[in-house]
Amino acid sequence: MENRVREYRTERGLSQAELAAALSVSRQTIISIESGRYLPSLTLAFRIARWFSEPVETMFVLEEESNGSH
Amino acid sequence: MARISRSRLVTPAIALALGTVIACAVAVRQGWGVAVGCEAVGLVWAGCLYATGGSDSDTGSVIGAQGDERQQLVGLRAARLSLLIVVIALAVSCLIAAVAGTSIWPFEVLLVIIAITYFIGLRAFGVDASELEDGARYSWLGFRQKRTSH
Repeated sequence: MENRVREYRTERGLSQAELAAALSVSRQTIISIESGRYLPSLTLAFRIARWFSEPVETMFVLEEESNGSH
Repeated sequence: MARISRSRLVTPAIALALGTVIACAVAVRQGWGVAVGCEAVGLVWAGCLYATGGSDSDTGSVIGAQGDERQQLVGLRAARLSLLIVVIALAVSCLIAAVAGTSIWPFEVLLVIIAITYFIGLRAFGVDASELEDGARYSWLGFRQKRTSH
């Protein structure tokens, strides 16, 4: 699973700590999600996507789908 | 003035309570001097837990009982590792006690408690067979039972 959390966050000029505070999670969790070390729960994935006003499948992409699209 | 989070006090309070119970038990057989030492160790341990619980880290969040979903998972994994080590240590201790010819029942009791609570946990947190919708019947242990023809 790949995600575009870092891309969207930097686009909006947010720090990891600010995004973490907005989503009520820890800064370490944002770091882990961005680096792909942690796959968030469905609930958190939806909360992240909603916060960026994007569909969840835009934020989180299955690897086989991202490979197929290129 | 900084507010003290109630959840941050839970782990140190449990450690302190356990330390006090142990200190009381020690006082009965070995006197107050040793018991005060035990209580002091418990106090220092509780203080360390409280201090760690306030740090901006996964360890701090888990000990401070205020972690998010990933930190709770980290806590569960750490607990699983810790339990595995305890079981190995108990089994080795049991073996050593048996070879030395001393009593092994305390180790056996602990191993049985761990095994029973593990299976209770599997039953409590797993999906109940009655919730499955394939029409099959399952025994209490989860084995699929043969259908009886009528």
